[in-house]
Amino acid sequence: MIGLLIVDDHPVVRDGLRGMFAGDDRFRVLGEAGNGREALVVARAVDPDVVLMDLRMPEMDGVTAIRELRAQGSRARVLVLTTYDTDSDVLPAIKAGATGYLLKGTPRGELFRAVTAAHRGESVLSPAVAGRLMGSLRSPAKEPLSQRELEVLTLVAQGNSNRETAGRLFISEATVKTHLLHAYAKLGVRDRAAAVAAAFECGLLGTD
Amino acid sequence: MQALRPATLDTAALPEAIEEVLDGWSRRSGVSAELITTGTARPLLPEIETTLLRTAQEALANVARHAAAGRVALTLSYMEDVVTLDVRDDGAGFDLDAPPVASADGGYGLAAMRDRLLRIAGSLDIESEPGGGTAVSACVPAIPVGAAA
Repeated sequence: MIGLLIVDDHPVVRDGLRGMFAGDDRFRVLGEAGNGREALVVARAVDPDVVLMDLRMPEMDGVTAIRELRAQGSRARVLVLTTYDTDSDVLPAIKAGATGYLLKGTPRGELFRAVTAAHRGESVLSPAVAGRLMGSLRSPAKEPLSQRELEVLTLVAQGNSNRETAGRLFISEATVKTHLLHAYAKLGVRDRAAAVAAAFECGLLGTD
Repeated sequence: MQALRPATLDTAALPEAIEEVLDGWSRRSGVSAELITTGTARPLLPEIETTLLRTAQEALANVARHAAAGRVALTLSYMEDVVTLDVRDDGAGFDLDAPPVASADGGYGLAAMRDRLLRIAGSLDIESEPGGGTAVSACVPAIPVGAAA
Protein backbone atom coordinates (compact mmCIF):
# COMPACT_ATOMS: atom_id res chain seq x y z
CA MET A 1 0.00 0.00 0.00
CA ILE A 2 1.23 3.46 -0.89
CA GLY A 3 0.98 6.08 1.87
CA LEU A 4 0.08 9.54 0.61
CA LEU A 5 0.36 13.09 1.84
CA ILE A 6 -1.86 15.64 0.08
CA VAL A 7 -0.60 19.23 0.07
CA ASP A 8 -2.90 21.92 -1.32
CA ASP A 9 -4.17 25.21 0.03
CA HIS A 10 -7.73 24.54 -1.13
CA PRO A 11 -9.69 22.23 1.22
CA VAL A 12 -12.03 21.32 -1.61
CA VAL A 13 -9.12 20.04 -3.70
CA ARG A 14 -7.78 18.02 -0.76
CA ASP A 15 -11.21 16.56 -0.12
CA GLY A 16 -11.60 15.63 -3.77
CA LEU A 17 -8.25 13.87 -3.86
CA ARG A 18 -8.82 12.14 -0.55
CA GLY A 19 -12.17 10.85 -1.79
CA MET A 20 -10.62 9.62 -5.01
CA PHE A 21 -7.89 7.63 -3.26
CA ALA A 22 -10.21 6.36 -0.52
CA GLY A 23 -11.98 4.20 -3.10
CA ASP A 24 -8.85 2.24 -3.95
CA ASP A 25 -7.11 -0.01 -1.45
CA ARG A 26 -3.71 0.34 -3.09
CA PHE A 27 -3.51 3.81 -1.57
CA ARG A 28 -3.92 5.29 1.86
CA VAL A 29 -4.03 9.00 2.61
CA LEU A 30 -1.87 9.45 5.72
CA GLY A 31 -2.23 13.17 6.05
CA GLU A 32 -3.03 16.56 4.54
CA ALA A 33 -1.39 19.95 4.64
CA GLY A 34 -2.52 23.40 3.52
CA ASN A 35 0.89 24.81 2.64
CA GLY A 36 4.54 23.87 2.33
CA ARG A 37 5.43 24.60 5.91
CA GLU A 38 2.64 22.35 7.23
CA ALA A 39 3.68 19.72 4.70
CA LEU A 40 7.15 19.49 6.24
CA VAL A 41 5.68 18.94 9.71
CA VAL A 42 3.12 16.37 8.59
CA ALA A 43 5.66 14.55 6.41
CA ARG A 44 7.96 14.16 9.39
CA ALA A 45 5.09 12.74 11.42
CA VAL A 46 3.55 10.31 8.92
CA ASP A 47 6.50 9.42 6.65
CA PRO A 48 4.55 9.25 3.38
CA ASP A 49 5.69 7.26 0.33
CA VAL A 50 4.38 9.84 -2.11
CA VAL A 51 3.55 13.51 -1.62
CA LEU A 52 1.01 15.15 -3.93
CA MET A 53 2.22 18.73 -3.96
CA ASP A 54 0.54 21.89 -5.16
CA LEU A 55 2.96 24.66 -6.15
CA ARG A 56 1.43 28.02 -5.39
CA MET A 57 0.50 28.15 -1.72
CA PRO A 58 0.69 30.71 1.07
CA GLU A 59 3.50 30.66 3.67
CA MET A 60 5.72 28.23 1.81
CA ASP A 61 5.37 27.34 -1.88
CA GLY A 62 5.68 23.87 -3.33
CA VAL A 63 9.13 24.19 -4.82
CA THR A 64 10.58 25.36 -1.51
CA ALA A 65 8.75 22.55 0.26
CA ILE A 66 10.17 19.95 -2.16
CA ARG A 67 13.67 21.25 -1.51
CA GLU A 68 13.10 21.28 2.26
CA LEU A 69 11.69 17.75 2.21
CA ARG A 70 14.91 16.59 0.59
CA ALA A 71 16.91 18.58 3.11
CA GLN A 72 15.13 16.98 6.06
CA GLY A 73 15.88 13.55 4.62
CA SER A 74 12.38 12.56 3.60
CA ARG A 75 12.30 9.44 1.47
CA ALA A 76 8.98 10.52 -0.09
CA ARG A 77 8.65 10.86 -3.85
CA VAL A 78 7.01 14.11 -4.78
CA LEU A 79 4.41 14.30 -7.51
CA VAL A 80 3.54 17.88 -8.34
CA LEU A 81 -0.16 18.27 -9.02
CA THR A 82 -0.90 21.78 -10.09
CA THR A 83 -2.87 24.05 -12.38
CA TYR A 84 0.20 25.57 -13.97
CA ASP A 85 2.34 24.27 -16.78
CA THR A 86 4.54 27.23 -17.52
CA ASP A 87 8.29 26.83 -17.78
CA SER A 88 8.83 28.93 -14.69
CA ASP A 89 6.81 26.42 -12.67
CA VAL A 90 7.81 23.09 -14.21
CA LEU A 91 11.59 23.37 -14.34
CA PRO A 92 12.21 24.62 -10.78
CA ALA A 93 9.95 21.86 -9.40
CA ILE A 94 11.86 19.18 -11.28
CA LYS A 95 15.17 20.75 -10.31
CA ALA A 96 14.10 20.81 -6.66
CA GLY A 97 13.59 17.06 -6.83
CA ALA A 98 10.02 16.37 -7.96
CA THR A 99 9.64 12.87 -9.42
CA GLY A 100 6.68 13.86 -11.54
CA TYR A 101 4.56 16.74 -12.72
CA LEU A 102 0.86 16.44 -13.45
CA LEU A 103 -1.85 18.95 -14.10
CA LYS A 104 -4.97 19.10 -11.97
CA GLY A 105 -7.80 17.53 -13.88
CA THR A 106 -5.71 14.50 -14.77
CA PRO A 107 -8.17 11.59 -14.98
CA ARG A 108 -8.35 9.27 -11.99
CA GLY A 109 -6.79 6.25 -13.75
CA GLU A 110 -3.87 8.28 -15.01
CA LEU A 111 -3.35 9.84 -11.60
CA PHE A 112 -3.30 6.40 -9.96
CA ARG A 113 -0.80 5.15 -12.51
CA ALA A 114 1.32 8.25 -11.96
CA VAL A 115 1.36 7.81 -8.18
CA THR A 116 2.31 4.15 -8.54
CA ALA A 117 5.06 4.99 -11.01
CA ALA A 118 6.36 7.84 -8.85
CA HIS A 119 6.42 5.45 -5.91
CA ARG A 120 8.68 3.18 -7.95
CA GLY A 121 10.89 6.19 -8.59
CA GLU A 122 9.95 6.57 -12.24
CA SER A 123 9.63 10.01 -13.73
CA VAL A 124 6.10 11.02 -14.62
CA LEU A 125 5.18 13.91 -16.85
CA SER A 126 1.74 14.71 -18.18
CA PRO A 127 1.76 15.17 -21.96
CA ALA A 128 1.08 18.90 -21.72
CA VAL A 129 4.07 19.31 -19.43
CA ALA A 130 6.24 17.12 -21.60
CA GLY A 131 5.27 19.21 -24.60
CA ARG A 132 6.13 22.34 -22.70
CA LEU A 133 9.54 20.97 -21.82
CA MET A 134 10.12 19.91 -25.42
CA GLY A 135 9.35 23.40 -26.60
CA SER A 136 12.26 24.72 -24.63
CA LEU A 137 14.53 21.91 -25.74
CA ARG A 138 13.80 21.89 -29.42
CA SER A 139 16.66 23.44 -31.27
CA PRO A 140 17.77 23.27 -34.88
CA ALA A 141 20.41 20.93 -36.28
CA LYS A 142 19.70 17.99 -34.01
CA GLU A 143 21.10 14.75 -35.26
CA PRO A 144 18.33 12.36 -36.20
CA LEU A 145 17.82 9.21 -34.16
CA SER A 146 19.17 6.08 -35.79
CA GLN A 147 16.87 3.24 -36.75
CA ARG A 148 18.17 1.22 -33.80
CA GLU A 149 17.72 4.07 -31.34
CA LEU A 150 14.12 4.37 -32.49
CA GLU A 151 13.61 0.63 -32.04
CA VAL A 152 15.00 0.81 -28.51
CA LEU A 153 12.96 3.88 -27.65
CA THR A 154 9.80 2.27 -29.03
CA LEU A 155 10.28 -0.77 -26.80
CA VAL A 156 10.99 1.47 -23.81
CA ALA A 157 7.89 3.54 -24.59
CA GLN A 158 5.87 0.32 -24.51
CA GLY A 159 6.96 -0.07 -20.91
CA ASN A 160 9.82 -2.53 -21.35
CA SER A 161 12.72 -2.34 -18.92
CA ASN A 162 16.27 -2.24 -20.29
CA ARG A 163 16.52 -5.92 -19.57
CA GLU A 164 13.30 -6.73 -21.44
CA THR A 165 14.33 -4.49 -24.31
CA ALA A 166 17.66 -6.31 -24.49
CA GLY A 167 15.79 -9.61 -24.52
CA ARG A 168 13.50 -8.53 -27.32
CA LEU A 169 16.38 -7.36 -29.50
CA PHE A 170 18.58 -10.26 -28.33
CA ILE A 171 21.43 -7.91 -27.43
CA SER A 172 23.05 -6.92 -24.11
CA GLU A 173 21.59 -4.49 -21.62
CA ALA A 174 24.85 -2.58 -21.86
CA THR A 175 24.20 -1.86 -25.52
CA VAL A 176 20.58 -0.94 -24.84
CA LYS A 177 21.87 1.63 -22.33
CA THR A 178 24.38 2.95 -24.85
CA HIS A 179 21.64 3.42 -27.46
CA LEU A 180 19.45 5.16 -24.89
CA LEU A 181 22.24 7.53 -23.86
CA HIS A 182 22.75 8.47 -27.48
CA ALA A 183 19.02 9.01 -27.92
CA TYR A 184 18.89 11.19 -24.79
CA ALA A 185 21.73 13.32 -26.09
CA LYS A 186 20.08 13.74 -29.48
CA LEU A 187 16.73 14.60 -27.93
CA GLY A 188 18.37 16.86 -25.36
CA VAL A 189 16.85 15.03 -22.39
CA ARG A 190 18.24 13.40 -19.29
CA ASP A 191 16.08 10.37 -18.58
CA ARG A 192 13.86 7.77 -20.19
CA ALA A 193 10.53 9.41 -19.32
CA ALA A 194 11.60 12.65 -20.93
CA ALA A 195 13.06 10.79 -23.92
CA VAL A 196 9.82 8.92 -24.52
CA ALA A 197 7.80 12.12 -24.12
CA ALA A 198 10.15 13.96 -26.45
CA ALA A 199 10.00 11.25 -29.09
CA PHE A 200 6.19 11.28 -29.04
CA GLU A 201 6.21 15.06 -29.18
CA CYS A 202 8.47 15.06 -32.24
CA GLY A 203 6.25 12.49 -33.91
CA LEU A 204 9.06 9.93 -33.86
CA LEU A 205 6.87 7.43 -32.06
CA GLY A 206 3.28 6.59 -32.92
CA THR A 207 0.56 7.20 -30.40
CA ASP A 208 -0.87 3.68 -30.32
CA MET B 1 49.34 -9.24 -33.57
CA GLN B 2 49.91 -10.19 -37.22
CA ALA B 3 49.45 -13.87 -36.58
CA LEU B 4 46.14 -13.20 -34.93
CA ARG B 5 44.85 -11.15 -37.78
CA PRO B 6 42.78 -13.40 -40.01
CA ALA B 7 43.39 -13.09 -43.72
CA THR B 8 39.79 -12.10 -44.19
CA LEU B 9 40.30 -8.77 -42.46
CA ASP B 10 42.95 -7.68 -44.95
CA THR B 11 40.45 -7.65 -47.74
CA ALA B 12 37.00 -7.64 -46.19
CA ALA B 13 35.23 -5.17 -43.97
CA LEU B 14 34.66 -6.18 -40.37
CA PRO B 15 31.02 -7.28 -40.83
CA GLU B 16 32.02 -9.63 -43.64
CA ALA B 17 34.94 -10.96 -41.63
CA ILE B 18 32.69 -11.67 -38.68
CA GLU B 19 30.11 -13.22 -40.98
CA GLU B 20 32.78 -15.58 -42.25
CA VAL B 21 33.83 -16.55 -38.73
CA LEU B 22 30.20 -17.07 -37.84
CA ASP B 23 29.48 -19.32 -40.81
CA GLY B 24 32.40 -21.55 -39.97
CA TRP B 25 31.43 -21.66 -36.33
CA SER B 26 27.82 -22.54 -37.17
CA ARG B 27 28.91 -25.39 -39.42
CA ARG B 28 31.21 -26.83 -36.77
CA SER B 29 28.88 -26.39 -33.81
CA GLY B 30 25.61 -27.10 -35.54
CA VAL B 31 24.07 -24.07 -33.84
CA SER B 32 22.46 -21.47 -36.02
CA ALA B 33 23.91 -18.03 -35.53
CA GLU B 34 23.27 -14.74 -37.22
CA LEU B 35 25.00 -11.40 -37.50
CA ILE B 36 22.98 -8.22 -37.33
CA THR B 37 24.69 -4.96 -38.22
CA THR B 38 23.06 -1.68 -37.21
CA GLY B 39 24.14 1.83 -38.06
CA THR B 40 26.53 2.69 -40.85
CA ALA B 41 29.39 0.22 -41.07
CA ARG B 42 32.68 1.96 -41.78
CA PRO B 43 36.35 1.01 -41.68
CA LEU B 44 37.95 1.39 -38.24
CA LEU B 45 41.57 1.31 -37.15
CA PRO B 46 42.93 -2.20 -37.83
CA GLU B 47 43.76 -2.75 -34.13
CA ILE B 48 40.15 -2.07 -33.25
CA GLU B 49 38.69 -4.30 -35.94
CA THR B 50 41.11 -7.08 -35.07
CA THR B 51 40.19 -6.88 -31.40
CA LEU B 52 36.48 -7.02 -32.16
CA LEU B 53 36.98 -10.00 -34.44
CA ARG B 54 38.96 -11.81 -31.75
CA THR B 55 36.31 -10.99 -29.20
CA ALA B 56 33.71 -12.51 -31.52
CA GLN B 57 35.82 -15.65 -31.99
CA GLU B 58 36.43 -16.14 -28.29
CA ALA B 59 32.89 -15.44 -27.27
CA LEU B 60 31.68 -17.94 -29.85
CA ALA B 61 34.20 -20.49 -28.61
CA ASN B 62 32.79 -20.04 -25.11
CA VAL B 63 29.26 -20.52 -26.40
CA ALA B 64 30.28 -23.73 -28.13
CA ARG B 65 32.12 -25.08 -25.09
CA HIS B 66 29.85 -24.07 -22.27
CA ALA B 67 26.47 -22.73 -23.28
CA ALA B 68 24.55 -25.56 -24.99
CA ALA B 69 22.72 -22.80 -26.80
CA GLY B 70 19.91 -23.11 -29.31
CA ARG B 71 20.19 -19.60 -30.59
CA VAL B 72 23.15 -17.27 -30.98
CA ALA B 73 23.21 -13.77 -32.39
CA LEU B 74 26.03 -11.31 -32.91
CA THR B 75 25.06 -7.68 -33.15
CA LEU B 76 27.53 -5.18 -34.46
CA SER B 77 26.26 -1.68 -33.70
CA TYR B 78 27.95 1.26 -35.37
CA MET B 79 27.16 4.44 -33.47
CA GLU B 80 28.61 7.94 -33.77
CA ASP B 81 31.37 7.58 -31.20
CA VAL B 82 31.51 3.89 -30.36
CA VAL B 83 30.97 0.49 -31.90
CA THR B 84 29.56 -2.32 -29.82
CA LEU B 85 29.70 -6.03 -30.49
CA ASP B 86 27.20 -8.17 -28.60
CA VAL B 87 27.34 -11.94 -28.58
CA ARG B 88 24.16 -13.25 -27.02
CA ASP B 89 23.05 -16.83 -26.54
CA ASP B 90 20.05 -18.50 -24.94
CA GLY B 91 22.15 -21.23 -23.33
CA ALA B 92 23.07 -22.36 -19.84
CA GLY B 93 24.43 -19.07 -18.54
CA PHE B 94 26.39 -18.86 -15.31
CA ASP B 95 26.41 -17.13 -11.96
CA LEU B 96 28.14 -13.77 -12.28
CA ASP B 97 28.85 -13.74 -8.55
CA ALA B 98 30.79 -16.98 -8.86
CA PRO B 99 32.44 -16.49 -12.22
CA PRO B 100 34.23 -19.41 -13.78
CA VAL B 101 37.99 -19.24 -13.55
CA ALA B 102 39.96 -18.76 -16.72
CA SER B 103 42.04 -21.77 -17.62
CA ALA B 104 44.20 -23.00 -20.42
CA ASP B 105 42.03 -26.00 -21.15
CA GLY B 106 38.85 -24.36 -22.25
CA GLY B 107 38.01 -21.81 -19.55
CA TYR B 108 36.18 -18.69 -20.45
CA GLY B 109 39.17 -16.40 -20.77
CA LEU B 110 37.01 -13.41 -19.98
CA ALA B 111 39.83 -11.59 -18.20
CA ALA B 112 42.05 -11.88 -21.25
CA MET B 113 39.23 -10.68 -23.46
CA ARG B 114 38.71 -7.67 -21.21
CA ASP B 115 42.43 -6.86 -21.10
CA ARG B 116 42.63 -6.89 -24.87
CA LEU B 117 39.71 -4.47 -25.11
CA LEU B 118 41.13 -2.20 -22.42
CA ARG B 119 44.27 -1.80 -24.51
CA ILE B 120 42.26 -0.08 -27.23
CA ALA B 121 40.25 2.00 -24.72
CA GLY B 122 37.36 -0.39 -25.00
CA SER B 123 35.34 -2.18 -22.36
CA LEU B 124 33.70 -5.53 -21.81
CA ASP B 125 30.38 -6.26 -20.13
CA ILE B 126 29.19 -9.73 -19.26
CA GLU B 127 25.54 -10.35 -18.48
CA SER B 128 24.44 -13.82 -17.49
CA GLU B 129 22.46 -15.89 -15.07
CA PRO B 130 22.11 -19.61 -14.67
CA GLY B 131 19.57 -20.82 -17.20
CA GLY B 132 19.16 -17.37 -18.68
CA GLY B 133 21.80 -17.31 -21.40
CA THR B 134 24.76 -14.99 -21.64
CA ALA B 135 25.45 -11.70 -23.35
CA VAL B 136 29.02 -10.57 -23.91
CA SER B 137 29.24 -6.97 -24.95
CA ALA B 138 32.37 -5.23 -26.20
CA CYS B 139 32.34 -1.48 -26.61
CA VAL B 140 35.19 0.23 -28.48
CA PRO B 141 35.84 3.75 -29.71
CA ALA B 142 34.85 4.24 -33.34
CA ILE B 143 38.18 5.53 -34.59
CA PRO B 144 38.16 5.63 -38.38
CA VAL B 145 40.98 4.35 -40.52
CA GLY B 146 43.51 7.07 -41.17
CA ALA B 147 42.86 8.96 -37.96
CA ALA B 148 46.06 10.24 -36.36
CA ALA B 149 47.21 8.05 -33.52
